[in-house]
Order: sequence, then structure tokens, then C-alpha cells
Amino acid sequence: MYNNYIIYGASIAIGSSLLQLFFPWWIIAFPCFALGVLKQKQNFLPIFLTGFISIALLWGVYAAMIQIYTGSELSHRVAEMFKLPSNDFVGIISALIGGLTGGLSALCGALIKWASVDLKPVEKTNTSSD
Amino acid sequence: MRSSIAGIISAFTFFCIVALDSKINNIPPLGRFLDPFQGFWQNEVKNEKLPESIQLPKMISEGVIYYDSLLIPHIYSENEHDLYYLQGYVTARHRLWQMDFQAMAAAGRLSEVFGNLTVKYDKGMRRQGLQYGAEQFIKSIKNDKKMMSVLNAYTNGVNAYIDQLSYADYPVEYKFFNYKPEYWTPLKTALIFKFIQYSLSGPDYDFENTNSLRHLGKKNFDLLFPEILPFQEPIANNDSIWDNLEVIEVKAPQNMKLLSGLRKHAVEKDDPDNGSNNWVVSGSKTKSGNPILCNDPHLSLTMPSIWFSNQLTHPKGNVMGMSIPGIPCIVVGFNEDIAWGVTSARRDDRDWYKILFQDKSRTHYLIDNYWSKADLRIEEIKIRDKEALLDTVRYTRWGPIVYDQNFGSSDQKEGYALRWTAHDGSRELRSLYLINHAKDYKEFDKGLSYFSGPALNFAFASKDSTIAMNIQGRFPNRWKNQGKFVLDGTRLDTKWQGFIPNEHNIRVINPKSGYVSSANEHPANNNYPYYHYGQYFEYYRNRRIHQLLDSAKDLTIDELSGMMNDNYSLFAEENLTFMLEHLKTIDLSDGQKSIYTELRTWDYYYSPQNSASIYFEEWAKSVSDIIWDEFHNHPSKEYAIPTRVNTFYLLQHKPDLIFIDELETAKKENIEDIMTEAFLAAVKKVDQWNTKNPTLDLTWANYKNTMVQHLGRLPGFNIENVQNGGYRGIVNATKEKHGPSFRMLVEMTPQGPEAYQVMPGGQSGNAGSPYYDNMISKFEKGELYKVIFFAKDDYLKEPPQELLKSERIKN
Repeated sequence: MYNNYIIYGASIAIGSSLLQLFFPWWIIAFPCFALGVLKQKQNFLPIFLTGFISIALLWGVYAAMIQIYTGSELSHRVAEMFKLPSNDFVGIISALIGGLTGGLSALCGALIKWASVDLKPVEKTNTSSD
Repeated sequence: MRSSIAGIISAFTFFCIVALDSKINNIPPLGRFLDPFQGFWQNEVKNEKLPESIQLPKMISEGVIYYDSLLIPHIYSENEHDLYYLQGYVTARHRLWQMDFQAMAAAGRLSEVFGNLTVKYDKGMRRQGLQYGAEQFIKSIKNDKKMMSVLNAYTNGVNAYIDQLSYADYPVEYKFFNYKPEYWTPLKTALIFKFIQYSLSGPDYDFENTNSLRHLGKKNFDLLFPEILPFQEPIANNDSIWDNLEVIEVKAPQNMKLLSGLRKHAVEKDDPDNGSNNWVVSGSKTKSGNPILCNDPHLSLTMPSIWFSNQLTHPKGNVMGMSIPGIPCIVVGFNEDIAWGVTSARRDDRDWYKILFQDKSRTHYLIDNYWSKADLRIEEIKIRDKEALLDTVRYTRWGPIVYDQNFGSSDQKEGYALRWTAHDGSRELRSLYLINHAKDYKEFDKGLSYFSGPALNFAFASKDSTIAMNIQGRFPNRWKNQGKFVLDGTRLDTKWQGFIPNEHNIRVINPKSGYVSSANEHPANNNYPYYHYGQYFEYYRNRRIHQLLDSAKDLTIDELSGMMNDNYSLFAEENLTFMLEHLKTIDLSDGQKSIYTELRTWDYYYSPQNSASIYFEEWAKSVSDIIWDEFHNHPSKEYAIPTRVNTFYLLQHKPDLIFIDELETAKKENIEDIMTEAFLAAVKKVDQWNTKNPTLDLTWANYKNTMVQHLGRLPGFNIENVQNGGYRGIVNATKEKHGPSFRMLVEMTPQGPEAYQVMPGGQSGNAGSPYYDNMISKFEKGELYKVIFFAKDDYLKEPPQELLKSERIKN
């Protein structure tokens, strides 16, 4: 059953990275949100984690690649600016912020679907009581 | 129920995304900033992202850029339009944020980025009329078709670069402060010119002088603030050359009364040590027989580096050197035939006029018993996330009223107007253009005649072995003491009575001494028939340069480049023995005695590893502080503070005068008391430093802790603890946050110029680039890089192997 999540996560990561070439950073919310809506079973924690981990990995790995490729002078400076002990923290914080956005967006998708499914039985009970 | 949970979480998510996309106080928009796809990570570069070729449709024909190993662009084009277009493009590529930021600073628009924090600064800039001056500059250049086309080409080049940018490509500072680059305009170039003049002539002392004169009386004022001391060696040190000058006389008005000045300046002044060294030695003094020019301009050290080195080549010209981002042409440099370098002339070009308004509405002001109407200029200061602030600046016949009830002054009917040469139309750009293309001294001198301000000492060397020094600027022709104190703006006869004719400006050409030099000292002694007051003339660097060059023979490039890093303190040589003689050694502890011994054997060099210089510097500072503490610490009024050179001159030569009761300055009875108290204070201060910095060695470089500070004050973007010696009054003038903004040496050989240079930083303005600060280690050691000066033909052949990149520009 974890295979599914890996596939979902991979699609989010690929979809986001393509979208991010053209749109600002907040575009990552959309594929995650879509996952939340489209997913059949409503297990909130796994959905949040899928969104979180896939974006965090995407951002973290990309940041790490940039760090390794360039020698990363700038992240040292940014670390000093935010008073962080080392430049690795800058990458980790980037990943966490991306992850949080992704996870929350996926959760929103799932919750909205969950809420919309909920509406129907509520309507039924209302009519029956009338 | 379910829908409200979903609603709350969705709202929270939305809120988070919006928050991560906005700048909150000093925190950048974190999501946007940390996004590896478009945020600051994209500004990380391994080498420099330089393309093989680019296409710029506005180019008339093709061009080529050679980047050498220091990332200096050598630009070649077929015509002038393309040349300045490419200079604009390439400068923007490496320095866009810096030039945009400085133009905004000059225009008083920083609050659009920084909010409330910079409102006072902006108000000060607006009230001093930099934008007004820039508008006059553009007006006077409008009729000059040639210069207008240079300026437009440069502007279009910058904007062509801006047009290509997406968010990911923005310089990192835009991402941090969360705003966008703005299109360049000719007015912004004018603003940068005015900003330079502001930083060089901004620190005036008219109010302080006025306050001190009222407090001390004329006799004591002249004693404490002499215009020139007897041992000075001015730039033009030959008395006879003024004999056949037909001087234009000026008349001082009668019945002048001493006015009261503003109590305190409301705007922060730039560092008064903004200055420089330059010298040219003729072939008679060099080993190679060629003239050699050296120049190092001292400014507040900032990152990205103040100067941008580049070469501009086209079929009719070939010039290389330092440009200022935002200004077309080369400001300091050399071409195939000549080389030139600049220092600040420090002549007073800013005067304050006291204005009397008719009533509280401040629409009319008194002038010769008549109420004149002031022009109102409404300045709208936009403030980020706040409502804009409107400030009305009144323009009088003198100039803008900087200080009135709404800024820095409390009196309802009083104001202070600023008369400043920077407000007059001027054509410095034409001057730069002509100098860039000058072939000999005659053409150079003619080109300079368009240069009004800031007043600079131009050192000159040419292939045909002419050496010269021109003190260039548009100097008001003053009566004695005009402009030293606040002037009476209610009478017309206090105005400037014209300007010193350009032919009467001071020039030194091929002097017998075999060299010319300037280091912000007096331009000439009192035999020069025009009054030439300056705020703050140098006494030590210039004489040290003379000391080194007077007897020198067979000078080599190494010796001359070493001279720019010379750490010898002439001030220490002339005063330390005197100070030690007057120190009461009996009461000193063992530790203090060893410092005393260290100072006695010290060689007067402020070298980086030395520690005696720390004690000496603190000691001399304390002496001045103790003697003039009442001037320093007056709660509501600013007084002029006697310079260190005059303080010690008086201590050594007229000790009784300093201690007369009328001055009410020194509480101490005699020199011994003061020297000892100052010595103990200095030792205590150094001890405190030791306690605060237990891990650092007590060396001059560590103690001085030179820092090159980022323009936007971003911590982490500075260069800290630069290991370089020197200090104020020393040829190597590297101070805490101030010093040589580049060092350049040019030898004019018969085959063409051979040039060397270094700057405290690097060519790139991108803090993620290795070229941001790659020159700092050579700067610290006082070494220079040899730079390549390509001939026109070099661009038409195969690019040389050792280049970083050869870039083709297609149209």
C-alpha cells in the first residue's frame, strides 16, 4: 500500500518541479491540493505526509544539489544573516518551509473533499426530520 | 462541522502561504526567498553564469566581450552607440541592484523599500535638492546631442538587461527586501553624479564654525581653527607662478553681523576623511624611464565594490579603468596615450544662508528689505506599507531651504537655505567623455574645463612624458571667510560674486621636483590670489608622500605599489617623543611601563601585526578628547572640534595658549597631567578590548577590525576583519569602515599603458559569486593584479586562451 504513496509523492514532485519553472513558489500548493482532492481514502496523516515529504525532498535535494555544485558561498552568507550555525540549516529550513506548504495544501484538498462528501448526508437528515 | 474544520485549515494554509510570500519587518518573504527554483539559491554560481553569445537587437553592429580572469569585461564594438550600450548592459549584469539602490538613495526614495526606517534620510536628501540638481544636470546636457546619445545608449543597455530578467535572475538583494528592479533613466545617471558630489563635499562645517566663533570669539577661533599651519606643504608649492594672473577681485560687503547658526545638523554627514592619494613620478625618477601614476581613492568601504573595472574599445578610442556603476565612460583610468587619477580637492562648495520668513506660512522671505516669494516644491516620500508623506521644500534665490520648522529647526520664522554648486547645471559627463578620448595634456586640460564638481585633483601622465596636476572644479570666487560661517540671507550682497575663471584654477605641469602628488592637502599656500577655504585639509599623507618621493631615484613598480600600502605614521614620528617626554612615568605599574617601553622603541609603522600603534592611536585620541571634551559633549549644540594636527601643534608650540581661562576647555593644569591621564585611559581601553576578545591576538589589524560593509547592511554580506594596516593620516588610509576603494598603478610605456589594480572586494555584485570578494587577500597584503589592456586588433583575432570567457554579441 505504500507503493501508491510513493507514486503519488513522485508525481507531486515531478509536477511541482515542472510548474515551478514557470510560476512562483506557491504553485506547489496546487498539485498537493489536487492529490488531496483526488485521493479516494481519506487518511489525513498519510496525505499530509505525502505532500510534506515530496515537496521537502524536492526542495531539499535541489538545494543540496546547488550547494554541492556551486560550493555555496551564498548559503553561508544567508546562514550568517539568519544567525544559523551552518549553511546546511539553510537547506533544511528551505525544505521544511516547502514541505509545510505542500503538506498543508494536500491536507486542505483532502479536508475539502471530506467536507463536501459530508454535506449530502447532512442534507438528508435535515429533509427526513422535516 | 466538517466544513468548518476544512474551512479553518484551508484558511490557515492560505494565511501561511501569504505570510511566507510577504516581507515582515526585517524578515524576507521566506517561501519566496528560500525556494530553490527561484529564490536566493538561484543566485549561487559556481563560476559566473556567462553565455557564449547573446543577441541584442538594438545593437547597430556586432560586438565582443572578453572577460579576463578577474571578471573584468573588455568590451569591443564597431561604433560608439554599441560601446556605451554594452557598457550599460554589462554593468547592469554585475551591479544592477547597487546602481538602482544608489540612484534611489540620491533621490531620497529609500523609504519605498525600507519603510519608516529611512524617512529621515530621504527627507534630508530631498531637502538638499539632489534630485533638483540632477534635473538641472539633464537640462544642461539636453542640447549636447553627443552626450545625450551616449547617455541614452547606456540607459537602453541597462534596460535591455532588466527586460531579460525573471524573478529567478534578480540580484539577491531584491529577493531579500522583496521589491523589483526599476528601469534606468538618464536622470538616474545624473543622480549618481550628484550623490558622488554629496559624499565628497557633504561634510561642511558652517554651522559648527558659526557656533564656535560665537562661543570663542575671533581670536581664539583663529587659534583653534587656523586655515593653514606653517609646516604644511601644499599641492602647488611654487610661489611665483601666480604673479602674472589678472585676478578678478571680489568685494566683501560692509557691516556684516555675526549670525547664530543652526544648533545641530539634522542630517548625518558622510565621513570627512573621504579623500584619496594620487601621485605621478616622471621618467627621471623611475628605473624604466617611463612616467608612473598611482591613485587610491578613500571612501566609505562598501559591498558590492564601489568601482567597476572595465575596458571600452571601439575603432576611435580605447580606454580602460574604473567606472562607477550608473555612469557611462571611465572615471579613473588610462587610454593608449594618457593616464589620470583623482583625489578630492575638499574645497568648500556648500554655503548656508540664514533666511527670515515673513510669517508662519513661510511663503515669503526677506531679501534687501523686500519680501520675495519662495518657489514651493512638493516632495512626496512614499513609504512602504504606509501612507506617503508630503514635504514642501521652499526654493529661494540661494537654493533650497533645507532646515526650517519642519526639519531640524524649531524657529517658526527662520530657515537655512543651501547654496551648493551641485544645484547648478553642469556637464561632467562631457568632461569624462573627452578625457577618455584625450591624446595629450592639451586635450585632457580642455576636457577637464567642463568638470564643475565635485572638485577633484586630477593627476595626469602621458606617453610623451608630460606629468601634471589639475585642481579642477567650478569654485565660487569668495571674499576672505565667505562661506566659512553661516551667511546672511536677508541681504543680496552676501551672494557669490561669480566663479574663479577656469584658466585661473591651479595647475602644476612638469615640475622640477620630478613628480606631482596630492592627498587632500591645501591646493596652494596663501600666495594663490583666490580665497580657497576647505573644510578639512590633510597634513600628513601629503608630506609622507613628499618624504618618500623627494629623494627617490630609479623607482620600480614594486616600490611604488608598496607606497600605496605604506603604513608609516608621520604624525607619530612628530609627536610620540613629545608625548613620552611629558608622561609621568613614576606612578606607572609594571604593565604600563612595558607599554611605555614598547612605544619608545616603536618604528612608527601601523603594520597589521603591530601592537604599539594601538596604544599610540588610543593615546592620541584620548588627548584630544580630554582637551576638547566640552566641545564634544555639548548636549544641544554642535561645535567645531579642533583637528588633531592643530591640537598637537598647539600643545608643542603654544602650550600656554591652550590653557587660558577664556577657553574654558582644559580643567587640567599642565601637559603632564593630560598626557598621563590620556595614557591611562588608552591603556584601560585596550585592556577592555582584550577582555572582550579573549580569542584574538592584540594586533593593530584585529583591533582596528576593518570591515567592508554591504550597502543594504545585510549581515553576512560584508567582508569582515580585513587584515590590513594603516589608518587616518597614513598613506595607506584603511580605517574601520573607510579606506582605499581601489588601488591603481599605471606605467605609460612607449608601447602603451601597463596597468595594475586591486580593490577591497571584486568585480561581481552577486554575493553568491566567487568574484564578489576575490581580490580581498591581495588587497590585504597591499599587492596589485596586473590587468590586460587589449589593443583594438586583439579583438579581431582568435580570443586568447587565458580568458574566463569570450562572449559574442549579435544584433
